[in-house]
Amino acid sequence: MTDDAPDDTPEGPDEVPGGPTAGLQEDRLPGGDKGAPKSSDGLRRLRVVSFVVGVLVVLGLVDHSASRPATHSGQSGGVQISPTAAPAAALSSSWFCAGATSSAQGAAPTTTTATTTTTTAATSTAAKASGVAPGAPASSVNPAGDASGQVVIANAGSLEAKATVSVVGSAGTPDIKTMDVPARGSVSVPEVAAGGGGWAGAIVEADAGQVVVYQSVSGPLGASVSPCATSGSPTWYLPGGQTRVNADEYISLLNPYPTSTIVDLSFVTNQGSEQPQNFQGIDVPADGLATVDLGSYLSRRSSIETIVKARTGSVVAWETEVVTPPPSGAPLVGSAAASKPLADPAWPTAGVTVTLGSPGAATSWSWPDGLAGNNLQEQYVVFNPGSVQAKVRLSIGIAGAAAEPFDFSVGPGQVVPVVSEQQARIPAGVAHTATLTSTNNVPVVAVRTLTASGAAIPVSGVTGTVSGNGQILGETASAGSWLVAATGLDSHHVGELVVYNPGATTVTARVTALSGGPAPALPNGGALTIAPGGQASLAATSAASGPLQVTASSAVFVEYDLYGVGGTGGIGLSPAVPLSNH
Amino acid sequence: MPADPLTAEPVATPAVAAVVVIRDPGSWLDESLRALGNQDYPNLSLIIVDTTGDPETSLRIQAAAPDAYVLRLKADTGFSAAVNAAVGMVEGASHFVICHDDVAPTPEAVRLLVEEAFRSNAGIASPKYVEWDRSDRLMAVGATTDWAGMVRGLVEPGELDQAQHDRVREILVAPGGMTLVRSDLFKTLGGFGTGFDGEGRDLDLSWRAKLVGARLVVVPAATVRHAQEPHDALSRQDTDIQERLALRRRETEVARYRTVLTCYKWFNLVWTLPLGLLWALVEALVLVARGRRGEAWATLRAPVLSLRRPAELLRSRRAVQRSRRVGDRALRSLQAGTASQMTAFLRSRSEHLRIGVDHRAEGIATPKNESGRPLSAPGGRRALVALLAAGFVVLLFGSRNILGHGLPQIGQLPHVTSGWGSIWADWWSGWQTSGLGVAGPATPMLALIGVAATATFGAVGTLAQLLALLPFVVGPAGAYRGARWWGSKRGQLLAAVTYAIIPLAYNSLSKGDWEGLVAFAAAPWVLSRIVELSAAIPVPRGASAALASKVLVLGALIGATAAGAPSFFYVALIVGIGLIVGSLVAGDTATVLRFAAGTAASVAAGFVLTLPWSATVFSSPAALGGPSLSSADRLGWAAVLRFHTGPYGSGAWEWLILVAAALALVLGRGWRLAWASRLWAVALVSFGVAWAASRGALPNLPADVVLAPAAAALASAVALGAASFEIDLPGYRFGWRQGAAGAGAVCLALASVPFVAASGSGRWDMPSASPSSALSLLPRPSAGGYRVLWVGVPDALPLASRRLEPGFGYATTFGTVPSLTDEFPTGSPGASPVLAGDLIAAQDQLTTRLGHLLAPAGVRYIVVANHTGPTGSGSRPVALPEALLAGLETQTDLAPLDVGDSHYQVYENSAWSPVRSLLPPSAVGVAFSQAAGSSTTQTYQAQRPLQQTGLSGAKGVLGNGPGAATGTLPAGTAPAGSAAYVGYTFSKGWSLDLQGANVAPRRAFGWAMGFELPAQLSSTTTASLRYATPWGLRVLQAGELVVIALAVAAATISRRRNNQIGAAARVAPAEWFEPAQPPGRRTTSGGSLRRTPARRTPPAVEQDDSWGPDGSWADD
Repeated sequence: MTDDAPDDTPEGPDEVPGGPTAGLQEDRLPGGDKGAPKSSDGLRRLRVVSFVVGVLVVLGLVDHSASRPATHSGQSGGVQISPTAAPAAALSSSWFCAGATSSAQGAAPTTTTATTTTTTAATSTAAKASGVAPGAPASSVNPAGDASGQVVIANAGSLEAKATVSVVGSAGTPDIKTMDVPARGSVSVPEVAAGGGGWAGAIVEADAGQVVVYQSVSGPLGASVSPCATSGSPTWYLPGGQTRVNADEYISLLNPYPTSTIVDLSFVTNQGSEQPQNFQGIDVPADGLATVDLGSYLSRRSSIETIVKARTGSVVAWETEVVTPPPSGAPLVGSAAASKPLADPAWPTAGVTVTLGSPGAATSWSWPDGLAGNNLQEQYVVFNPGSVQAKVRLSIGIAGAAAEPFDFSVGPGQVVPVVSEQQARIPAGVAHTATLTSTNNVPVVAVRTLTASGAAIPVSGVTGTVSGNGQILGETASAGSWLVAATGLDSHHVGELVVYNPGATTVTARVTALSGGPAPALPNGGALTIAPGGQASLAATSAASGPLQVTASSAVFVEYDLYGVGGTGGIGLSPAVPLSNH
Repeated sequence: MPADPLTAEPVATPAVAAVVVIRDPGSWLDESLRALGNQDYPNLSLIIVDTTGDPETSLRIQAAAPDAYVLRLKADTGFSAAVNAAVGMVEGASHFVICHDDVAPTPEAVRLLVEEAFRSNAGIASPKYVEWDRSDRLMAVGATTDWAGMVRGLVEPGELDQAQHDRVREILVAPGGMTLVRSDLFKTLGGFGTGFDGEGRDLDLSWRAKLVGARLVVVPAATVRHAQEPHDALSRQDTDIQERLALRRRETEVARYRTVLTCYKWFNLVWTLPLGLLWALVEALVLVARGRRGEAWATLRAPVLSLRRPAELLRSRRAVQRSRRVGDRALRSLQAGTASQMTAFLRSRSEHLRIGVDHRAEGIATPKNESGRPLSAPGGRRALVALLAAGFVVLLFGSRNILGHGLPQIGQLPHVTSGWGSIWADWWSGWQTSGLGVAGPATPMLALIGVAATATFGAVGTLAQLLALLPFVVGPAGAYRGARWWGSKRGQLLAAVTYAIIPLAYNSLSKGDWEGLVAFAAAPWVLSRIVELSAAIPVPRGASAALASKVLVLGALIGATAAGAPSFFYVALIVGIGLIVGSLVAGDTATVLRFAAGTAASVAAGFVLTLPWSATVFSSPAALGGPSLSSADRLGWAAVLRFHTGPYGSGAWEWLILVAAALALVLGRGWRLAWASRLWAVALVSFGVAWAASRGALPNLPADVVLAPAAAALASAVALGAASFEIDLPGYRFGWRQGAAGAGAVCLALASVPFVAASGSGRWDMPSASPSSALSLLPRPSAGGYRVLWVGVPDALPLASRRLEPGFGYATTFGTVPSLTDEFPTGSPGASPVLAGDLIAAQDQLTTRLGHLLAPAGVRYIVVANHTGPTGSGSRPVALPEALLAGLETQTDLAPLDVGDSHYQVYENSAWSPVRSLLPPSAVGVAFSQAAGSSTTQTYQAQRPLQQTGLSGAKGVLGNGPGAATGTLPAGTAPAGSAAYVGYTFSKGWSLDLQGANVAPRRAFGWAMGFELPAQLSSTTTASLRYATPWGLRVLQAGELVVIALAVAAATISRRRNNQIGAAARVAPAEWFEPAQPPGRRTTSGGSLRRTPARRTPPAVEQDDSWGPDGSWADD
């Protein structure tokens, strides 16, 4: 500024500083610049420049403190991974179940209260043909009646709800029933498909929120419960499958929408990526069901991750795994004989597992319960369906403490299992929680599998052993209120409700059974206290066989595990369904 | 036996008659007549036609040419008529020499012309014209035309005559002044065409002569001094120079059009006329930008005026075509190239100046700029004009794929598909069909578009392109015009260039944000007008005279802009607030009140002029601000400062514009510094409001609209910097400021790089196809029609949308293609929020039967856009309403539909029913029992019965278009208890006419209309659904027209009064623009004012030769 300082100073007697404020203008212009102070341009410039720079800097600093704007990919990332109950104010809610086999004819709905149940049979205006493309390995035969299904409709709301259940079979027309679901009660409807045996699914539409629908399957091989889906999706991932000499794998595709859908299946197996021609172009009619037997073209696969892609529209995909007792003399998986070159090993444990697929990948998965050792084989299977390598971290929580996490990478289209027994950081016989996080934000799909071979039932206060196979996808979002609509409890089954507190403060939770009437007594009054990062469980017996509702003081994860006792066998692992708070 | 050359009779010299028409004799007349009398041609007769009726002229003729024949006409019927009259009296002449009264030929000129005419067998011979005062400077040596009939000289006016053009050559046009014409040819042609005057008559005569096979040559050896005093209406001295220029242009253009219409064969007219009209439009726009509105108007009127006296035109054409012996193709070799129009247009500037100089000598008011500032030298001006032309070429180049392939219907770009009559009807109707329909006035923009559509004779495709692309010309033109106050022509051009390279408009175009484009076009004009109202230095006092009319004009401008971009009402206030803040920062409190009053009054005037529409818009903040931004779309401060509101612009280039605009802050003194403060304050207020609104701290306002004043202010600041460079920089010692000035120029040059680079795509990143084209496979609407519900980021939707949630909007179209009215949001939303409530219900998992809820609105398809355009159209991805999509996936009555374009997720509603239908009795009870909800929640809760019932049995009736409809209700289709349902917002103005029986509407589903039908329609019944626009609204709409007409009239009258104040009062004193003296030598500080100017120091001519001899500035 030194070079111009003299120039900014008025010179000569005939000058008036301030330029426009001066002399000639004062005479000429109404208003003009008369009011301008008689300061030099230097001061004025300083003031103006300070103002401009000041505004620029101050707003820049304020803006800098805010979050940065995101960019758009044009791709939808809003897939809801887990089923969620509609809010109480909802006009309607829909649930989609499949993967079960048709129950015996003539079975009638049952309710937990004395509320009148109406059963009406209706037929669709359009006949529903088998939804499998020509040449596709359709499975229309009930696999030994191993997974007879029924839907359990629980109403956590305070008003009675009306529900319409359309039972869809592999063939024939849907069987439609309308019934009332009592407030804080439930209704069970057997999935009896028109035409008798074969596969069955159900579309449940309720005229209210706070309604949760589970599918419960049971058979000689065991029982399993699982929440139904609340939305379809063009893409589904079903990890953790296998086909063996005694293990069959079925994929059920339910189309609850008014137009038909064409679906392609692809697989990542232990033999690599596979796309059998016969699993392409599967026609799933509107309001129809199609089930395919993977074993017909993917036999003897120790690992199958199924990817379902609808060319148009959306479907709901379920996976049913049926493992029969191993043939006599067959080498068992894990034994030395199984490792021989021509060995055709069998899965050592019989059981049936019906699992809802995941409509998308996610960057975080949580399992409230975990247990390994003592004849319990547990593993976490991580599948990366994307095209970018995922870096993931598996964190194990033991009694509120954290073990050293497992960091590993999962390549595009690859599957990485983490076998708990092989990890020293996962102590045998100690319950734990698990959380899988993608550290580079590449979404993955993760499932926890459990195989019991005469293991002690891991439910406090219950003695005996259990054998069977269970599988559960992780949960992706915590919530303060959860509902397990179907507990599957009877004299041959016990259950365990496990609550995991991912937060940093202690959470109190209350478990109540929805019976439609007076609440049945639960151990400790249903009260649970969960330490930060810890878990708490509540044993459930047939004394409280109705739906279980968990209300926590803060967001938690809730899982329900079902174990067969008394030689019945079977393991059912299922996530609870979060209830919307509004 | 051959004749003896010595004894034979000398060959008789052909008789030649020179005809001189005297209409407005100047001082040169005597010399001119004497020169003609001194010709060495032995057989020359001089015929003088005196049209003045002035005895003094007679005396001068008698003194200068005592032997001449004098023909005195009682009235001045024009040059052509005078010549034709004189020639008709001549017998026996082989040639005529037709002369103006301001030419002075050398003594041998006529002889040389005649000799060459015989030698070349030419029908017309033209001499070499040189300037009257400087005979070594050429004026014309023949001329030619281009394909459009634009006359182009073969030499540069003012070119030094070094005999470089001294060869006889064939020409196409013989410039007027002194023309030798073979008498038989002249009579064959019928003389000069009647109705022609000015330059046009020479073109007409020459062209017709060429068509009959005559040869036209230029004979440079024959030299004629020419004073170039126009021999037409331009010579009337009682007219203002601007009017005279406009008159001259009009006459020339009319003559050109008539000549083209007369002489071209029809198949050449097919392409020459449209191209010529297009060029005229461009030329008019540039003239407007340069403040030559009279000439612009004359240019636009000329095509129409040329069609006057059509019978005569047809006769002339028939005569020419009958007598033609040469085809048009033969003329091509003599015609100029296509670039001649640009050259001729640019040349018109120098002619403009020349005329001004001529009349300065006569004491006629010289045209001046409103600032008294001397502008740049001609050489520099040419370079800057070339720069401007280059920018225009880049603009055309960058828009080539838009101009060549049509305008896609994206965002709110006006999609004009209907005829002008339909547009007018839409404006006049009291029922707006957008959304679910609403009763209320239409935006005045429809009327303006209707005017444009009418003016373009219904060429709606071209009109749509013009509406989208004109802002790119109008905006920079406004910046150019607005910067005139700073007195630097260089600065004006830089302002235009700066405004053109700011990314704002290109982002608006790429997003289809027409509101942004309209604001971009208007902002510099509004800023300039408000500046003018302030009358602060250097705005001359005269410029602010007739204050009321100026406020009215500014109000009309604001109102017209707001009709297309409602938030512009706020923008005008932002400008005013910025100017006030800037004044306060600069320490100038005197102008604050003036800025405040001027702005407020103008906005109020704009509001009143656009009533009743403006009242409805102001009652709806959503209509003013549009859908809000999502958090992901919110603009950061850096993005705001760089105008990065869309895909155009990246990196750091745009920072350089701010740097260039800051030059005025560091260089300016006096009023330059004060205005730099004001302009920067306008920019900062604009930036701040845009930023705060984007962050949700203020009510939502479209960023592209709000930032327009910032762009205008920065462009003006750049111009101010240029002025400071010229005025203030000389007053500083050598130092960093000199470097800063250079850096500013470099910054501006570098900042234009993205502009040039972006032109490569040819469409400014705009998608090449319309979103609705992705739905082309969907079935056409049948009876009753259906609606498409569009959801997504507003930029990705093909019409104006309403707010669904932050960042996302929704809108409906009747069928798949939006109409023009869908582009303009109505003030009242009508029942449209019902749709939003239904969508939110699905998003919040409150329903799994959204289709049932949407059925009463006739929504058959829901389209969610994930890109700004279809696949393969160069579109860009946009944010998705993830929660809504998740909700849509749960709907059991919606089926995803593959339309073959992954950029759109389409759901088909299996529960839809036509917009107009016959309700089945089962649904009638549900429809009429549902009460209107006072809130969104109540509304959808009231729909619980509807969700259970559905409308799937409804049968479509009454046509398939929006609005009123007529159709038949077949017998038997309306059983007892049924009702005609109409999915429009309930309004008592609707009625259903059943063959004379009027049925009033009942509210259905809480918001729509149902018409109870008779028990049983006995036979096919004709039904008409009608809307009766309230008389009150009609009166208000008519009043709107009246008020606008009155405003225009008042402004015109006021402007005329203002003109009477005199040009001098509108010119700022030159002292304000005196460059500062170098340090050590100066006696005043740069830019400061003397209290009493001791003298008016004319700037040195060598510094700027635009100064006239009297020290006044000759504006272009």
